Formats: sequence, C-alpha cells, structure tokens
Amino acid sequence: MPEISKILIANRGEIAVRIVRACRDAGINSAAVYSDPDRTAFHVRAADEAYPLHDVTSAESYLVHEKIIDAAKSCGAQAIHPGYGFLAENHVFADLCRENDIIFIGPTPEVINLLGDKLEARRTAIKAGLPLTPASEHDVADIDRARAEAEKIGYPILIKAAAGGGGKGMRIVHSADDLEAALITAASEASSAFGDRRVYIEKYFDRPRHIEIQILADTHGNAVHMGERECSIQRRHQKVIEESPSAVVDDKLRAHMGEAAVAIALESGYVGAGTVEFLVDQELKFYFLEVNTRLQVEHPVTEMVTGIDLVIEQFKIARGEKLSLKQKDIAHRGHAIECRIYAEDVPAGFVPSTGHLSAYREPAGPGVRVDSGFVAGDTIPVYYDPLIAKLITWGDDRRQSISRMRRALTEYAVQGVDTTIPFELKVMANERFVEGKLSTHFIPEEFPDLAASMAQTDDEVELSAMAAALIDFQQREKTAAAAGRPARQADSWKLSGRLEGLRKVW
Amino acid sequence: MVAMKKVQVDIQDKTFQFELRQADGKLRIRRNGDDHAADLVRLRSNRYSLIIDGRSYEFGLEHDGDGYMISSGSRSGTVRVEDYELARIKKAAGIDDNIRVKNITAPMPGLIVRVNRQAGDDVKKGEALVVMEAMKMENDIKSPLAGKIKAINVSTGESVEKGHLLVEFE
Repeated sequence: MPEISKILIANRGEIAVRIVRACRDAGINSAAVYSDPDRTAFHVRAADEAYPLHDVTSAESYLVHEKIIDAAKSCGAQAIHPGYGFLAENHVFADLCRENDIIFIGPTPEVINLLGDKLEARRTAIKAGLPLTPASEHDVADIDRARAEAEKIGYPILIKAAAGGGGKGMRIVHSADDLEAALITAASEASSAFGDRRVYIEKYFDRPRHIEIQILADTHGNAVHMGERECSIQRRHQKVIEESPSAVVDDKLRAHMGEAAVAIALESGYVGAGTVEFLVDQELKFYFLEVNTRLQVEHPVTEMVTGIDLVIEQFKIARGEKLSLKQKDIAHRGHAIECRIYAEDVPAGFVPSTGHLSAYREPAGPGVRVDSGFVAGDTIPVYYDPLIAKLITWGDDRRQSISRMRRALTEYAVQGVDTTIPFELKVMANERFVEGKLSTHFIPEEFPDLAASMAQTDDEVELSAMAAALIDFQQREKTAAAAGRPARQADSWKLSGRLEGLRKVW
Repeated sequence: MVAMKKVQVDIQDKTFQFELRQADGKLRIRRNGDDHAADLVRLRSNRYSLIIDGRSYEFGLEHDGDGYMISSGSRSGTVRVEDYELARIKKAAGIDDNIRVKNITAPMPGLIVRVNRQAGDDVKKGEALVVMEAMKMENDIKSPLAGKIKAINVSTGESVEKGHLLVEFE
C-alpha cells in the first residue's frame, strides 16, 4: 500500500485550510500552493510548506495542470488533494497525476469523466436501478429537437448543461414560446463556463427539495452512505444554507436513498468521498439528479452529525485501505446546520463585495464550528469566489441548532466587507424556516424584496446614529485636548486616530 | 467645564439630532429630552466599546470621505455627523452635501456582459440595467430607483474597476 507522507493541496481558501488540518491530524506534511494575490492568504501560513504558482487569475495559476504537478514533484508530495471546484472534477488532470505517479485523492479519471457528463451519469443511474427525473436521453443540439423533447416531457422544463453544474447553463422554461431564447442563452453560458455548449432538457418540479447523500467507497468494492444533507436554501442555484438531517427524511426514506446512492457508487466503480444528489417531490418520491465526484463544500454538516472526519477517510482510501466503517456503524446524532458566509451585498441582490477585513472575529462556543480561509486584516481578493467561511452549528435537535446558529451569527463581527450574515440571521428567524417547510423556491418566496426584508429596526438605526455621534464627539474632544484648545468641528482627527492606532498593539 | 454640542446625524435617509456633553470625565447624550450616560472606550484604531445606560455594544467606525462608515456586528453603513448649527446654515443657503448622487457605480471590478437599457429609458426600481461578470458569476446591476436614465457610461465587453460610473439618472 502506498505510503503518503506529504500531500500537495491544489486549492486555496477555507478548503485548503481544512485539508491542512486533516494532514496535521494524520501526521502528514501539508504543501500549499499560492497565486501572487494569495501570497498573504491564510492557507499559505497554515500549511507546513508553500510553493508559488505565480500569476494572478485562477486560469493562470490554480487551474494550470503543469504548475500543480511540478509543485507536487518538486516538493516530493506523494498525493494531491484537489479540494472542491478548480481541478477536483477534471479527469484530464486526474489522469496527468496518474501518469506522473502521483496519487489523486478522488475517483479515477474514468469515473470522473463518466459521472461528470450529466447524461452519462443518468445512464449509469438507470443501470444501477435508480429512479430518474424525466429528461432527454441526449443533448438537444437544435430548437426542433428541443421542442420535441420538451413536449414529450411536458412543461415546465429545465434546460441544463451536460458538462457542469452550479446553475451555469441552466434555464427554467414555462412555455414553448420561451424555449428558443432560453436555449440560446443556456448553451452560450454553458460554453463559457465549461467549454462545452451541450445542454439537455429535464422535467422541472414545483417546490422540490434538494437532498443529497454522502458516500464513501474504497478500492476493495466497499461503499457506505452517511445519510443526507438538505440543501434546499439556494440562490441562483448555489447553496447558501444546508442541514442534516432533513425534516422530511425518516429512517425508511434515508435507507432507500442511501441504498440508491451506494448502488450507483458500486455500479460506476466509485472510489473516495462523493455525493449523490436527488430531487425529492411533494410526495417524498426521490429522483436521481447527479453525482458530485468530489468532497463538497457542505461536508462539515455530515461530519458534525456522524462524528466522522471525511478528509481523513479520503486519505485512508487513497492509501488503498479497506473502509473501516460498516453501514450499521454509521449513526446520526443531533442536528447540524451550515451557513455559507459569502462576501456579498445581499440587499443589492447578492452582489459580490470585495474589500479589506478591517475587523473580523469568528464566533465560537458550544456547538459552533467555523471553517474559514481568512483572518482579521486580510483582503478578499476579486479573482476567486467570494466564500469567506462556513459557519456550522450542531445541537441535540434542530431547535437547538437554530438557536446556536442565531447566537453565532449575532456574535460574528465583520467590518470592511458586506456579507450574507445579516441575511442568514433573517432566515434563522423566518417562521417557515423554523417549521422546516423548505423548497428550492424558499429564498425568492420568503424574501421577494431583499432590501425591505433586511431593513434595520428604527431602534437599531438610532443606536448607530448615537454611537457615531458619541465617537465623533469624543475623538474631537481628545484631539482638541491634545492640542490644548477647544474642539472644532473642522478638526481632523483622522491623523491622530492613525497615530494612536500605531501605538496600540493588537 | 461643561461643553454642550448639538449635532445632526444623517443615516439611512433618517436624520437625528443629539446634544452631547462631557462633564467630570463622563459622556452624556440627549435626544428628544431623553438623557443617557455613555461610557465610550476606543479599543484600537477602528473599534469601540460603548456602554450606554448599562447596555453594552461594540462598534466599528472608519472615515469614509466626509463622513463615516459605522459597523455593528456584520452590518455597516454610511453616516454623517455634522454640527447642527452649521447644518442649518447650509440648508438655508441651499447647500445639500447629503444629496443622493443619482448614479450607479460598479460595486466591484468586472466585465460588462450586457447593457439592457439606454439613455432616455424610463426604468423601474429593481430592474436589471447592466449585467456584469465578476467572481465567476453573472451579476445583475439593478436600478435603486424608478426614474429616467440620463446616460449609460459603459458598453458590452468593457472591463471596469470598482467604482466606475455605470449609469446616470436624470
């Protein structure tokens, strides 16, 4: 069995830090890579070793196969962990690792390629006996084909990219009149996002739940599932809040969905950690959507309810070990919720907010876990995605998990950048959320006017006004006292503020 | 020595008046006849601990042009503090520093992907006027008000910096 004493982490931000932590726990050396803007990023300081990729954009750095392979070879790493996004689901890169005798921590290139193509994945799911959403068997290259498929499936339909997810190349179409325009924009978006303009058509469900099953599979033909994550709270088809267990999944449904997930894992020859996504309709019937052949952003939710470290399990599988977990040993305890903290101006429509974290303090305490890639003083770079951190809370039950999440979100201090925290606080106070009546339409239905929903109370505004007045007054008085004369409104206390700031040690 | 100062504070389209004084090292603030004792300590250059009538808060405050950016928890916003008398004189003279500039600027650097409207168009609040690509996503730049567009300052394919003027309103 191969010995892994050093892992090169082909990623950045919070997931790179996560993998560093698992390396530490496992006694493995961690090697980070960084682009020019990320020289000062936290993941670089967190790792044991760090190697430059040079250049700025992802396309010039983290996505350049040769640069990653070269870094791994030159530092003697036996394995590369791709994290999520970037090269995690790139079968060409996984193949290059294999060619260079470097262990790619994930499935084989063939399985990544198979399951990465949404249409091939569906064919595999059919072979494994999974129920599927009605969809076109092939991609629809022209409007006539599209029309025919759409009629067969029945409106409303969803146009989806064959080569990738995350909402790119996706369009909902309610009637035949809108089909042509939607087809054109979807294909164009798919082309620019994945380099592949193929799109297919799927039935669009009204108010479905998006529920996914975590799986682990080894190289010895063993596979287990670790229960579900409810991921229905999304915007622009990107997840914002996830939780486990799902309010509508009982033991029986969990067992059925879990069996289905394990079946497709075994059918496809899956190795490593992965996620099988399902749509669950109002009658609690589930339909296969896709397989994500990577460790997912929201994996901590499963870790909190099962007590299992998924990244450590990935290491063991990569070393060729047999799964130590048996299905009957996997238990769930309590309830976990994750809020993704994005650097976004929510009232403006979740528009990315860049800037400098002039103050930043993560919450802590009972049942609180924060996976982040930033510390106070860091700048949020514009070149990569706007995820600052993941805030996960655990409680004995959903009620306690929500209450701890409210506490943690309130405690979270961020200055200098807008974040989704105030929005997530509103969700935690939302009656429908507390009742667990979720669907993928949750955000637009419960927050049709984001700016209005996020408005502060009159008391909050008055308090801020008072604080500003008091600080302004006190600082001017101090400046004047230092100068030995009465305060003037025209005084600039900017400079005295900076000088004082330099003297203090923080 | 008790120096009393009256200020006007503009925040989120609201205006407040406060009277502030420092007596025997103690800070006091009054509004509409309600008087409060305030204990304010600067923690470091941009963070403050405020205890007002026993209730404890932490605020962040930074200079932002002529005003400030005040931050509490994870929220922040602009605020202006002005001498009340001066504000009154300015208003009488027709000087309004606080006039909302009817422009939309780029909230982050990015690429202009689509321009949906043109000069002379009447638009609704919330309508997507320009679409920018940044941070791997397409972002709709929405109109903050209902009004008539004076000019669109960008074109499709243009790369812009944060703060770049996108749309001017009449």
